[in-house]
Amino acid sequence: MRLLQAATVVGFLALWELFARTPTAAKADMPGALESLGRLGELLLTGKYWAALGSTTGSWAVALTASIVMGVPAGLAIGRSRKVFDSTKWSIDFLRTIPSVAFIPLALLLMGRTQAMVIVVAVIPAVWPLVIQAIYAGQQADPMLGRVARSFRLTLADRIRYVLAPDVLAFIWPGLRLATTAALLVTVSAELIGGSRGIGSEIMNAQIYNRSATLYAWVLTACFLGLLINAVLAVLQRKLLWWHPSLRGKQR
Amino acid sequence: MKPTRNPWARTGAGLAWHLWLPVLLVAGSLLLSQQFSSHYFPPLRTIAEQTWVIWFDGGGMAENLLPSLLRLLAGFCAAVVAGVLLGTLLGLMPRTEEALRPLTDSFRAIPGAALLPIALMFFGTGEAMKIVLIAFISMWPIMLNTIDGVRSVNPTLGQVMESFKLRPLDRFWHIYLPAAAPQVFAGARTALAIGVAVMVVVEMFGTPGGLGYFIRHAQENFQVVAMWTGMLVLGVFGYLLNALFRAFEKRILNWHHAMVAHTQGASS
Repeated sequence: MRLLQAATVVGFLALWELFARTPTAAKADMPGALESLGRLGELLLTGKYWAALGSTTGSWAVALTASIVMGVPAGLAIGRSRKVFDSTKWSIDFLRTIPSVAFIPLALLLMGRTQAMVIVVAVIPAVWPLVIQAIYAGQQADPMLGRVARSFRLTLADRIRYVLAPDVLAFIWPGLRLATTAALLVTVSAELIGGSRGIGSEIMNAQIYNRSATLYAWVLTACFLGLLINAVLAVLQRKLLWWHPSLRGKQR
Repeated sequence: MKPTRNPWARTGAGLAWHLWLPVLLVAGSLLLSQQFSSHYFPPLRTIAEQTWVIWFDGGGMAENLLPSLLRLLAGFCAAVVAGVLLGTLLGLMPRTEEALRPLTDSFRAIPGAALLPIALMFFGTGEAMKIVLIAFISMWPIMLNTIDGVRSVNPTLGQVMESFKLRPLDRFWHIYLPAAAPQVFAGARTALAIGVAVMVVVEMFGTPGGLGYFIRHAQENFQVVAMWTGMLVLGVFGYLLNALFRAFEKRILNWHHAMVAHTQGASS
């Protein structure tokens, strides 16, 4: 299978190379696969490349961390109490459906083309899935587990490590996966629209100055970054959640 | 809450618990923003008045909301059709699906906005670019969920289909599609949220017309109140779209929920 998959990738690159030679592609100024990969190779040796890549990854990571730190405790607190849940339900339902990219112009006015602007805008879509899943976790928390922990006189640290963390983690995992994708999408969008340093603005600049090979090299970079993040999540999921019934014996 | 006999009193209390925070938030921002003198946070009253002037009186609905809605619908419907068809095919051909997985994984991993300049170069700034990009980026969650949904078809059903010698089209329409429906809908819900985000981004770069264009244009010209009205309309747009989708999903998947309730009821 590995071989077949490698053949698919090579086949795709060959198709790309062929397509780049057609008049349609020429009109759109599309470079071939080899040219784009070559350009990517050249970029890899420049400090500017790593600075932009680091900027995007940094914004994304800070936004995601901030979303977890704010969203999970808030969601747990809301889920614990029926009254708090009822009180916040409609507000949350409304706020989370507002497309986060709508805030980019406002954030641009307030903060300018800064990394802080990108981070603030990326937090907005990432925090809601985490809040929602943490609410479920809070609602479904098994009271028996708390009682068992009390009978065994577990210390607070042990209770967090062995009782709270595994339970909450299993619940928020789907939210975390949505949050990572949404945060990356909005990080790149905000850089693209706002022009703050990162993959998004590099892509935009390459387009403005008509450097199409550079443009495709950056799109490939964005793709690899996405793949890397997904791969890390998959590894984490195997390491942290292998015991969960929904994941046991599942390959994908 | 004490359980009360009177169902009306109970719904009333429930409603009160649901309502107080939204009411307080709106009233609070109404009052606070009145005192506020920041240029960037105009009073809520002004925003509400201008929303009426720009969007209802001034024809903003026809000029900017309708094009957005139409292109979102076009892109989203294309994404559903393409996602379900490809997903069904790949779901039925596990080996092909596995061979193609490096590609599907890669396309899904690209943060959609990164593809915008490529779409601009191929399709220009017009309608085709916008719809193609919305469809292409929001297709992936639908396709991946359809693959999973088709795989989850009960193997016995496969044998039944064999013995009845169902035609492929009938199999798709009567067996695979209903079986995959709950997962297709879950994917479509994610796809709709992504579609709205992509819609706003492409409109910010494309030809005039659309919510994204309006908000971006207002911001670039420092028309702060107009920008806020655009955000307000976009927020309500997103909310209503999501609510409509959920109502539609509930209606279509009624049988599924009934079946889940039935089987769970029978097993316990």
